[in-house]
Amino acid sequence: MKKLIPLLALVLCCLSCDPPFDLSYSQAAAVVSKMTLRQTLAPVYGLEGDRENLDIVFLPDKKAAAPGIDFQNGFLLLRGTYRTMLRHVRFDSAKSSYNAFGWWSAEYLDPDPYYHRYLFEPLKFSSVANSFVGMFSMDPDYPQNRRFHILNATFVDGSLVPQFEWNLKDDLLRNAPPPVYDANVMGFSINPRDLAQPFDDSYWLVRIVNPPIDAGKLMEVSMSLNAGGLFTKADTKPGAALFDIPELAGVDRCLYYYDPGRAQSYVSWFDTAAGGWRCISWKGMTATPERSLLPGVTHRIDALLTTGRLFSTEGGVGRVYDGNGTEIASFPLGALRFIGERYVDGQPLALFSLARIVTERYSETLAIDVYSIPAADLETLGE
Amino acid sequence: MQRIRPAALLLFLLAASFLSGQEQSPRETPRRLMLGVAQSGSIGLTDEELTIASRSMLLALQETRADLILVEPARRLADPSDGGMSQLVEESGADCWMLVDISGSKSELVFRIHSRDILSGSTVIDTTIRRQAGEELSMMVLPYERWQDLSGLLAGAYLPREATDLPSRDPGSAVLIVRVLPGTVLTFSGGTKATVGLDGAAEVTLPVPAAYQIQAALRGSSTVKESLFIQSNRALAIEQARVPRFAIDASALICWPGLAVSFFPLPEWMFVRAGLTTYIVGLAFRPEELFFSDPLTNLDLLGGIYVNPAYSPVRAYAGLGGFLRFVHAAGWPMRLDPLAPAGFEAVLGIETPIGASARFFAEYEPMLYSTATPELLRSTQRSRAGWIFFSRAALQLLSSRIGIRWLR
Repeated sequence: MKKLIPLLALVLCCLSCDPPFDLSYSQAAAVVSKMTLRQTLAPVYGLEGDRENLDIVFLPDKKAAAPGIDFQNGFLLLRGTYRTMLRHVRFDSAKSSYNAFGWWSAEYLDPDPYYHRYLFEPLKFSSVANSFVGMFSMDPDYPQNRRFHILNATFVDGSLVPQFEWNLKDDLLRNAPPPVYDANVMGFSINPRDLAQPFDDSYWLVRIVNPPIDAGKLMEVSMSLNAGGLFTKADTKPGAALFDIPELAGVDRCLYYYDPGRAQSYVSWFDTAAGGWRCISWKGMTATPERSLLPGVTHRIDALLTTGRLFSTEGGVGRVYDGNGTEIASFPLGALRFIGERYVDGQPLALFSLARIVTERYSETLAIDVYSIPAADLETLGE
Repeated sequence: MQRIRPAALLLFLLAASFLSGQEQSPRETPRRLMLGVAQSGSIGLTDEELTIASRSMLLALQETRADLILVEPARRLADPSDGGMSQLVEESGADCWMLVDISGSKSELVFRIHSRDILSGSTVIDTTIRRQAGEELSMMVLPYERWQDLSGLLAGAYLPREATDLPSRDPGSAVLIVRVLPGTVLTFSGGTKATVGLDGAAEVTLPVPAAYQIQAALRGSSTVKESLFIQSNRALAIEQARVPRFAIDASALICWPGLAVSFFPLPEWMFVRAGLTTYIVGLAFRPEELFFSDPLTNLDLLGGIYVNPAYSPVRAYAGLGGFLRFVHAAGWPMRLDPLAPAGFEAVLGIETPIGASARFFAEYEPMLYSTATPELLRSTQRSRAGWIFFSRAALQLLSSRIGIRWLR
């Protein structure tokens, strides 16, 4: 018996399994305990071969009608080290499962180390009958050209087929009212405020490139967009003017947010000289707007919330700043990925998704949980 | 604890004094000296101090004469006169006595020593010793008192009697004198039992010639088994080690290091263990990496029992307990793991000696994790093998630990 003990110990060790621990799940569990689980998409089929990349974000489709968000259908961003793949996932009610579809062109190399993950925004589609889902993106394949396109897809017999994509670059400002400017887009954002309209309000920060008309000046532009594309004329903001922000001299790419309620603009950009993120805010559409650098914001800003707060998820850490750039709360997000602020039944919510592998007896499938928290309560996650 | 320590030390010294004794010649039988300690004057020793003084003195004197069995009085010393002492010495199974009367003050002791040999009817010692002023006698110093000023008194006195003094026995039997700690229960093969008295020796008559197994059991000491062949009168000293009250474990839970401290509230049978297992570094057993790390540490507390005797070559034990899981990731304050903050564990283990005070052990250790997010917990595992998932918990069936246990 005594001689068998080492053998027995060896057998026991060989049969043992790892402890149940994953820091990213632990950190996520700490914050989802204060959130509402809106939807679990499981099982999700059609991602075999891609699901090993668990850096997956679910971007639910937008609707023009209530509740405003379709939690069962939406886009998937599969983020890898060198590329981002785009898929659309749709609920199959007959099989009570979810199917992901992709198309050949919806894969993007990621040449830009700082911005590449923040280029995708779902757009509203006016009705289910219209059968359009839209994805608006700044194409990282052509960073110099600042090319944009809208991906459209329609549902045919329950499957998703890409319809067309088109370049927005040439159309963006040509459709603007005179005077017509030739400009490069530096950044854009979609205002999360839902005004019960069949389109999204998008805001743009552009830099004039063509002399002799004030080359190098900045201009803010708003446009109406939906899944059908640019269907309304581009419109400069009331009282828009060309202006200068000296801190942004030389910056050709940034994250730009505009709060129409407060008429406040924010730019978050990576300062390669300083080796860090900076943030500046300004107000007023004069040639010399009242601006203020926010030195407390040293992380990338991923959203301007309807509460007036700024939200960063850089490095997997959620940070909430007030409008003056003072950090109010910070908390690890772990495996949670920030979707954005969305209106659901008229309430502004901060949405997050969490992708996980579910191991069954003979197979593995992907599951995606969607959580929400009122946007105003986001800072309580740091308590 | 202050009261336990002197007693534990005395017990240890008592055991050590007997263990250091020499085996008695079968032709001689030891003398039994009853030691009485009393106080007089205004020294004011408490009963407890007097008892400790008496026992530590007995141990110290015993060390000077291994061939002499010192015994305590069978009852409280009421009459310190020669007559009273002579009566008490018979009741105590001794054949000579020594009375030490302590007087003076606690810092300047005076010992009046008077001793008589009942067999010869003579006074052996009658002297007074004055100790120079020194450290005050107290409960703190008494257990460590060596009584060196008294230890020389016994030299040359109370020589052993010839073995012919032993009671006559049947020709087919012999007397075995077993010297063990007082209170020890001796069990002989064949069913004979004997309980050792205060003198630390037991005389047992056994059929001879025959081979015997003797088990000496005493709470607080290791149970000892001895085998011997007896064909005539003989004496036997059995070493009884103090039962360890503590143990320190160095272990590996699969491939993560752990440390634990055990306390044995019921020595040799029951244990309470507090342990720590950290996942800061572990062996990966994968070709691409040798080590890996998780910022997680488990603290556990469990109690259990041994299921077979301490002298068994392989001991089995079982226990139940609970654990807390702490996450200590950089940039995140240490906290209970939100994924599975706590749980319960069971232990089924075996241990075997690998030295005088060390054991190798292997444990099967299933763990039940409580969780508010079972789906997330489940997603940490890429295999369901060895797992049972519940709505608010997960049971890890395949978990084991090996290690070394040092007994103290």
